[in-house]
Amino acid sequence: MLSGQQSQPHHDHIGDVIAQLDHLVVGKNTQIKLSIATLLAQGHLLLEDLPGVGKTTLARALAATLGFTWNRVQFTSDLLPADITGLSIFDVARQEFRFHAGPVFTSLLLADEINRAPPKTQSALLEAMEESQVTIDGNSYTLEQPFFVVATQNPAEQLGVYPLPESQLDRFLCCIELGYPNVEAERVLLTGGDRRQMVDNTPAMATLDDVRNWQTQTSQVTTAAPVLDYTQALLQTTRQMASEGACANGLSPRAGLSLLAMSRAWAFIHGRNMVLPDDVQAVFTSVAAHRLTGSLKQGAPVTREILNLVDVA
Amino acid sequence: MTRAVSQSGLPESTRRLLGVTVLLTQLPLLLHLPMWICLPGTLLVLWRIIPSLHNRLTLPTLIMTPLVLVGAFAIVMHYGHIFNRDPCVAFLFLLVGFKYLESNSRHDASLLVVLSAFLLMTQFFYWQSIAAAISSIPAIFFIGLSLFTLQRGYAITDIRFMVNITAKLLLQAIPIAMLLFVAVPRVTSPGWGEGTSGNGGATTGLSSRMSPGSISELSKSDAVAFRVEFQGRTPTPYDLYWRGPVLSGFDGRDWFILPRAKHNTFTQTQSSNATPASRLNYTVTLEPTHNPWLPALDAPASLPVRITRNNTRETIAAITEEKQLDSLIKLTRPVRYSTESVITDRFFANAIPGAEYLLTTERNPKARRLATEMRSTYPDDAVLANQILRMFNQENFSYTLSPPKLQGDAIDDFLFNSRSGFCEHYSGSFVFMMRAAGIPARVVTGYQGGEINDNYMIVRQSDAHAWAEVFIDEQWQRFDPTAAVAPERIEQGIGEVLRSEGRNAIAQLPLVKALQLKWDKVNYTWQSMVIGFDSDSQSEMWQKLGLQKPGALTLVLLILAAVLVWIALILAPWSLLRRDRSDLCQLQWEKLCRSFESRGIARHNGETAEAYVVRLTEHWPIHKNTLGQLLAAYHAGRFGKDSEDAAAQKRYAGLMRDARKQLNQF
Repeated sequence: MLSGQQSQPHHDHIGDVIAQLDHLVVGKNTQIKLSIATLLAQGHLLLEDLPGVGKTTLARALAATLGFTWNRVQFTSDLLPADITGLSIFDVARQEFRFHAGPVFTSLLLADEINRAPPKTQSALLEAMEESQVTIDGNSYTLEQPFFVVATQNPAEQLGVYPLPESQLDRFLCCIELGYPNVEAERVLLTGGDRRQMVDNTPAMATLDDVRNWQTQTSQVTTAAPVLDYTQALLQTTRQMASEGACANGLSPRAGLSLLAMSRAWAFIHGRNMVLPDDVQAVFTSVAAHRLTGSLKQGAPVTREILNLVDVA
Repeated sequence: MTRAVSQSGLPESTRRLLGVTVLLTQLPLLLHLPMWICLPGTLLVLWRIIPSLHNRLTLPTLIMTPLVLVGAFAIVMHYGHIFNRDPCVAFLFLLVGFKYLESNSRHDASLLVVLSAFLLMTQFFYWQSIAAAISSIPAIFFIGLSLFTLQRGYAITDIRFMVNITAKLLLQAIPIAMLLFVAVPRVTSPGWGEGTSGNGGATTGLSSRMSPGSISELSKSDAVAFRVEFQGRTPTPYDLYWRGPVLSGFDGRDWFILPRAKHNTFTQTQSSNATPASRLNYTVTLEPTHNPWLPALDAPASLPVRITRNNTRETIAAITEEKQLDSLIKLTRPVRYSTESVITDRFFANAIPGAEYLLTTERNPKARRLATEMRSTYPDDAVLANQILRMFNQENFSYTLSPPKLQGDAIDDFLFNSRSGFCEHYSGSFVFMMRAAGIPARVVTGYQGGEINDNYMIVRQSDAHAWAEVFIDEQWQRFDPTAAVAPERIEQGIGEVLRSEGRNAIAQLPLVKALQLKWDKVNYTWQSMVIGFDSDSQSEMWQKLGLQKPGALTLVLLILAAVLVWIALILAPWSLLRRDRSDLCQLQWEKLCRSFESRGIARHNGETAEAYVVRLTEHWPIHKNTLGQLLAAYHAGRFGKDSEDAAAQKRYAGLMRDARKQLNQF
């Protein structure tokens, strides 16, 4: 027997989670798996797409299936940092300040149209994402794990947006695009019942403990030297292409770490306890594209070219 | 495992490929063989490869055999014999066509390819220029491609892949071919005999007989007669009279060589106007003439010595008392010799010329009368000669490459009627008149002038010339009547004349001319480096390497060793030398990739093991399980938790090797 099947039971469980999500979000298997992988890699997800293709449905389905509490914040140009993190209010009866937790205190935060808010508000959220804590009036409040942000972003060409700077894009482990459904999936969507109701009626398939457990196991997936070699070769090639002007920036070491974390999660979802180059390739575009060019759309052709270029050893 | 190969036919694509191969090998010979052989020889092949005909018809042996016999009979009738170069080549040419028609099995096809290769070589009997070598490259490539296709049989193969591999193989073979060329002992004289010179172009050149029109005919040829390198100063073309056959015999119309005693030692050329500065050393590379004379500048001062690179000096000519150099060797291949000349237009004779130099025959009475009249006016020999030249110059004589045909008594007709001619007309008439006036004279043919190309001089057949030598004051003195009528011929070379006559107008354009000279340079290098690489050059090469000329056994061993080293270098898996050799699973994986690459499915750069295996499975579904096992072992051994553990890795590598063996059994 080959080693690598100890995680089989958990894998089956994850399979159930994914199967249910497939049922709720029709025809988006890859995106669902990438979302789950982002969660297992303890990262945050950026959805780059047009309105109405099911971004919110995906976020709600994730929360419902995983048994997460969730909040939704619609980002607007007049949104203040306190609208996200919460604030201290003077309680006249008790003669003291009391902290009112903002929507960020939850397991899954859906930050809708994140690039419509001004930079100050954006960075309040990004601090919470990075540090897993919120500081208000000198007091730090730790966020409970797992904490998973699903942000959606309108394509930059649209009006009234504050594009996320590269440094902040880097905080999102993974950037995916849902895209239009294919013909069959769209027919199911059009003829099936109300998605929102379906999601609300969905039983949770996992607990917070399950998720934490999976996250630990994911971090233990073997990453052998050849995979590290391959990853380094990919990073090196992005830098070379950036210097040749094919993309805006090369990948940072942090991006390399993210790539490996995502690859481990991808391997874990597929029931393996070792990372294969296939895993790296599978997640490379979603990890690298938005960091290379600032947007998934522009970055995808570049990443595809890099994957064809770099020899898999 | 031998693949079951049906003996009952080749795939149509292979057949067509063979047809193209055969046609390409036949192509160069079309220039050298008579039309009645070329036509059926190529049609036999074309007939089968034109796709629209779709004929799978093969001639039954009952018809084929008589046809071959008829072909053989026709060749014998044409050439008069069969065991010689030309008829053999012609017969082979036909046979290859017939063989193609009846080739139905792989065995036949292999034989056909070998025959084609041999046929391709035969073109070098006729033509050894660099153009011939370059033009045979496509045929060589197709021969390689055909062999490779036959070897592949029915395996799934992509034509681009086949072409790539063939090109690679041929490129890899180049160093071996060069080694064999340099190291294998050279044959001094070709073993196939010289053949009947036929239409090989070797017949253009001076001949032992000069009739009115023969040299002007020669002047139309651009072919190179010889090339010269001068040691020391390069003389002006104006001075250069290249002495060839001396024509003393006369039959009333034609001038020809009289048989003369040959001297193998040299009597010093003595001349009243020769100075030490006029001595000139030079080296001639003579194209094959198939005639026994060596050109040398007038007047030869030493016997030509063949240049051998290991300093043995071999005299290759004898000199007649007319200072004509008769070759002692056959001039069927290019020859290189060095010699010395004194640039002079007169030299003392060894003996008083005999009556044959006065012979005029009974014909041409008008010319004879004119000569006698002039003689009575000008008693002095030199003055008389100059008066005749003056006549050519001042009366209505013209110089042309296309003179009218002369009627009856040729010299009379020329002097009194047509009055336009080429150098042979003027020199012939001049010598005739001198003789008629009682002064010994003879016609000398050769070349005049030449074209400087960088550090050497090209003399072409178009530079062919004829002049006169007259015995005056105990000396043979050169008179060039052509110079009297057309001084530009001598001063500016034949090119000027050709231009003024509108001939070769394109060839005289400056750009064309420059390209032509460049090309000649390349050809000359080829001539001296490749064609001229003979056994002498070879022993010189061994000497330079500090070796004695190796014996046969040593040579064979040396060549074998060198070839083996080269093959080892080609086969050496460089990728493995670069990589960590301890990774056993990776080694196994690379072996697998290579073996499938040779079956036409190469792994792309960015293709992972899994993706590659999926693709392989699409081509070979029966291997699905084995490939799956192999992949699993590879993954575990290279990427798994145990990949750092040497023993585990060895185990996985073993699994992979077993799987590979199973694959190879198919």
